[in-house]
Amino acid sequence: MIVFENVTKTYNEGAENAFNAILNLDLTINSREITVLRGPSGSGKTTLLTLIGGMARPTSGRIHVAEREVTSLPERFLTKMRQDTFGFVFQSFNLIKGLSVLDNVMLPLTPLGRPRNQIRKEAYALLERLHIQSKAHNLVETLSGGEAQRTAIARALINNPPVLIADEPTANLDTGLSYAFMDIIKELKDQGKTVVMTSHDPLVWKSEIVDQVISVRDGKIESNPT
Amino acid sequence: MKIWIERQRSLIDFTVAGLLRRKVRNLGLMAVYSCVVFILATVMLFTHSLRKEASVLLSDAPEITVQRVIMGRHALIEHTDLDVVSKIRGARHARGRLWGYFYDTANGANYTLMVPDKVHTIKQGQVQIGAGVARARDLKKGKFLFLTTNRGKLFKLQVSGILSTESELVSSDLVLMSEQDYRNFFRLPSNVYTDLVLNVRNSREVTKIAEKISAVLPDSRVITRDDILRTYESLFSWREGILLALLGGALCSFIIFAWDKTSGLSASERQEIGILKAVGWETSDILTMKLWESVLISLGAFLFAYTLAYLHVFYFSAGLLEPVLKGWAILYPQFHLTPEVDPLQVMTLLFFTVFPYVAATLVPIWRAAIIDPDTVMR
Amino acid sequence: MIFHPVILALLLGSLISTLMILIGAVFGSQILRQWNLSSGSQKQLNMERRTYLISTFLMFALISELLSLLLYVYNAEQMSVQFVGAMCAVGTLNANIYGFPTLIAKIILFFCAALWLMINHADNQAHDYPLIRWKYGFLIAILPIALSTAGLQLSYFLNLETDVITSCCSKLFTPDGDNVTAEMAGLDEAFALGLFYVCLALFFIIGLRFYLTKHGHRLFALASAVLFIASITAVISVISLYVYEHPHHHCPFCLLKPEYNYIGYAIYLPLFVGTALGTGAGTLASFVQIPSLQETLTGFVQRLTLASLISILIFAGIVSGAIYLSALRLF
Repeated sequence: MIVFENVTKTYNEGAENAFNAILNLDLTINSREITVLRGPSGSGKTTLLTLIGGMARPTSGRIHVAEREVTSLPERFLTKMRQDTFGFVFQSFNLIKGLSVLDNVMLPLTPLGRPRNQIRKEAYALLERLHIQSKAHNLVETLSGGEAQRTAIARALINNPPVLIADEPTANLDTGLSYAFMDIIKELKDQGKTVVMTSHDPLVWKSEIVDQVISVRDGKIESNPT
Repeated sequence: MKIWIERQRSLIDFTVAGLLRRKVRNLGLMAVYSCVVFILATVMLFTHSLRKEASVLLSDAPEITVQRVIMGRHALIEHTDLDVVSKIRGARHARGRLWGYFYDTANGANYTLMVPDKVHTIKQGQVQIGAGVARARDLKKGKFLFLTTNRGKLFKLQVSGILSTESELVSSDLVLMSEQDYRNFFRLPSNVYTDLVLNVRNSREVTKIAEKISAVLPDSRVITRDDILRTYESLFSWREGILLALLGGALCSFIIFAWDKTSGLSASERQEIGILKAVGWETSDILTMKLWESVLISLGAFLFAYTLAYLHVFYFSAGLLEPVLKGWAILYPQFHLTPEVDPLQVMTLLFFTVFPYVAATLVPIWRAAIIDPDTVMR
Repeated sequence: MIFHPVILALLLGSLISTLMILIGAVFGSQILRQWNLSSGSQKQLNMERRTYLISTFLMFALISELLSLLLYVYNAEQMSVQFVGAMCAVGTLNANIYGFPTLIAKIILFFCAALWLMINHADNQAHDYPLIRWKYGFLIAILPIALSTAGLQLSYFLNLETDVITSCCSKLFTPDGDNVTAEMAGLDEAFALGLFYVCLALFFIIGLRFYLTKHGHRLFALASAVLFIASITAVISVISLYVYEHPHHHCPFCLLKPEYNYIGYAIYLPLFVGTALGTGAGTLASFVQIPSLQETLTGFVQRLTLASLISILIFAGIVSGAIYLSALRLF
C-alpha cells in the first residue's frame, strides 16, 4: 500500500519560474489493484507517478510505501527501496540503443553484484514469458513498437517487484498492441502485482480490470471527473 | 567481497560496451592522450637510460682526477706533480693522462684524441678510432687516417681497430693513439700531462685524500668521481625536468580537453545515464562506472603509449628526440640504449598523466551521476 | 629547488589532493550549519548529492597520499646520489629540516584519510546520516594537516640544494646522536625487541578481547596506535639489524631496497593497513550505540577488527621470520 499525506512537489524552488506540480495531495493506492492516473498533459500526473515510484522526492509532505516512511530516506536507500518495490515502463520505453534486448533487460540488476549467469537466465525466462525470446540478441533499435514495449516490461519485471509503474503505456502503440498490453497487465494482476499507470487512453482507464481511476488536474485530485 | 568483485566486473563490462558504442569519440580521446604520454615517456625513458649509461661508465673511472689550473683555466700538469701525488698515503695507481680535442677541418668535426691506459697499448703509427670517426672518414681497419696538425704537418696513422659500437655514446668521436704519436702530434714536451688520475685504496677516504692533494698542490683542481656523478645526475634531471615543465603546458591543455570532453556529455549519454538511474542505478553506481571509464581510457592509453615510447627509445634510438636531449654534434652517435624500466619512473609518469586526468574528470562525472532519475520522464 | 620530474609529480599530486580536501572542508562547514535531513528542499538535496563528490574526492586523496608516500620515500632513495654524504633515503630527507617532518605529516594524513573513509562508509550504511556532522567536523580538522603536509613538502623541495652536505643513515640512526631517531636507534636491542613483542602480545590480547566481547574499543584504538609507534621503533632499533645482518645498520628505508628483497614493503604494508583498520575499528565502535547504526556497524567493526588482527599477524610473522632467518645473532 502506498499512502500520500499532504504531498507537495515544487519545481525550480525559490526561482522566479517556480511552480507546484503537485499541491497538498492525499492519496492511497491499494496493493494488488490496478490504479490509473488520468488527466490532461501538464496536469501533474507524471510527476505524481514519479513520486509514487520514489524517483523524485516531495518538497513537503509524507509518503509511505508498505508502511514505511520514505520521504527522508537518503538517496541510496530510496534507490534500494525502488529496486525492491518498483518496476518502471516508460512512455518512450527508454531502452539503451546499441545494447541487445537481453542486455537491456539485465540493466537494473547490473550494479547489484549478483552472478551474471543467474541474471541472464532470469532475463531469458522473462523474455520467454513475454514471447520475445527470439529477439534476445537483437539490438533494441531493430525492434518494432510492440517488441520494444515487451522488452521494457521485461526490464521492469527483472527485479521481481510487487509494483509495476507505467507511464502512458499505450501512447506509442496501435489498438491491437494496446489490447495485448492490457492482457499482460491483467496477467500481472492475477499474479498479485500492483499496477499504477498514467493514461488518457480510454482503452486503458475504461478497461474493466482497472480498480481505481484517479483524475488529476492542476496538481490536485479531481473529485468529480467528467 | 565476492559481491563487490562481481559488481565491479559487471560495471566494467558495461563500461567497455559503452566505450565501444562511442568508438570514434573515445578513440580520438585516447589518441590525444597517447600522444601526450608518448612524448613524456620518451623523454623520461631516454634521459633515464642516458643517466644510467653515464653512471655505469663512470663506475670504473678513477676516483680522483687532478687538474692544474692557471688563471682559472685548465693547464698542463707536470711530471713532478705526479710524483708528489703518488707519495700521498692511500693513493694508488697515480698516473698522468693525455687527452685533448682536435678540430678536423676536413669535415668540421671535433675528435677526442687520447692515449689509452697502459692496459691496451697502441703501437706507434697506429690508431683505434670510434665508429663516428670511421663513418665520417669512411675508414676501415687497415686503412690510413690522415690528420693535419695545426702547423700544417700531415700525420699518417694506420687504423688498427674500430671501437665497439656498444659504447658508442662515448666512444663515437674517439681517436686513440700511442703516447709518442700524441706528443708529436700536439708538440708536447715529455714531462707534461693533460691531467692526473688516481685510485684510492679505501673508498671512504676519497674526500680526505682529495683534501690532502689540494693541500700539496694548491694550484690544482681536484675532482672526485662522485662529483662528476652528481653533476651528471643533476644535469640530466634538470634537462628532463625542464622538458617536462615545457610539456606540462601540453599536459594542461590536454586536461582541459579531458574536462571539456567529460563535462560536455552528449545528449545520448545524458539520456543513457537518465535511463540507468530510472531503472534503479544509484548515484554511486554511475560514479563507479564512469570512474572505470576514466581509468580504463587513461590506463589503456598510458600502457599503449608507454610501450610505444619504450620501443621508440630502445629499438629506434629515440629518433624523434635525440637532437633535443643530446645536443648537436656532427659525429652523431648511433647507438642502442640498454632497455631499462624504472618503477619510480613509471609511477612518476602515472602521477603526471593518469592522476590529473582522473582528477579532472571527477567533477564532470559527478555532475553526470547526479542527474535526477525522473529526467527521462519529464 | 631541484627540477626533478618526481618532485614535480609529487607537488602536482599534493596540489590536487589538498585542493580536494579543501573543497571537502569548505563543504563540510556548510553541512555543519545547514544540514537538515527532514527537509525536502532543493538545498538539502544538493547537499546530499555533494556528499558523493566529497567521498570520491577523499577516496582519491587517500590513494594519492598512499602513492605519494611511496613515491616520496622512493625518490629520496634515488636522489641520494646527488647529495654529498647521503647513501640512502635518510640522507636526502635530512638535506634540510623539512624532509622528515614532511614524511611524518604524510603518514598522519594517510591515517586520517583512511579513518575518514571508514567513518564515511559506516555513515552510509544508516538511513539517517547519523555521523554526518561528526564526519565533516573531522574533515575540517583534517584540512590543517593536509595544508601543512603540502606546505612542508613544498618547503622541503624548494629548499633542497644539492651542494648541502647531509648525513646518511649510519650517522642519523646511531645511538650517540641527541635526537629522537638516535634515541630509537640507541635503545638496548634486547629491551627494544622485548618491548616490541610485549606490545604485540598486548595488542592481540586487547584485540581478541574486543573482537569476542565487543568491549574495550578505545583501548583497542589506542593499542593500534601504540603498536605502530612501537613497531617503527623496533624496526629502527633492532629489526633492521637482523635484516641487514649488520650490528650497526639502523636504517628504516634501506629495507625497501632490492638488496634486501624489498622486505620493507612486506613489513610496512601490513603494519600500515593493520594500524589504519585497528584505529578505525576502535573509533567506529564508539558509534555502535546510535540506533540506526547498531545493526550494520557491529558487523562492520567486527570485520575491521578481524582484518586488523590478521594484518598485524602477517606483519608479526614477517618480522619474526626475518629475525629467525637472519644470520645475525644479537643475543
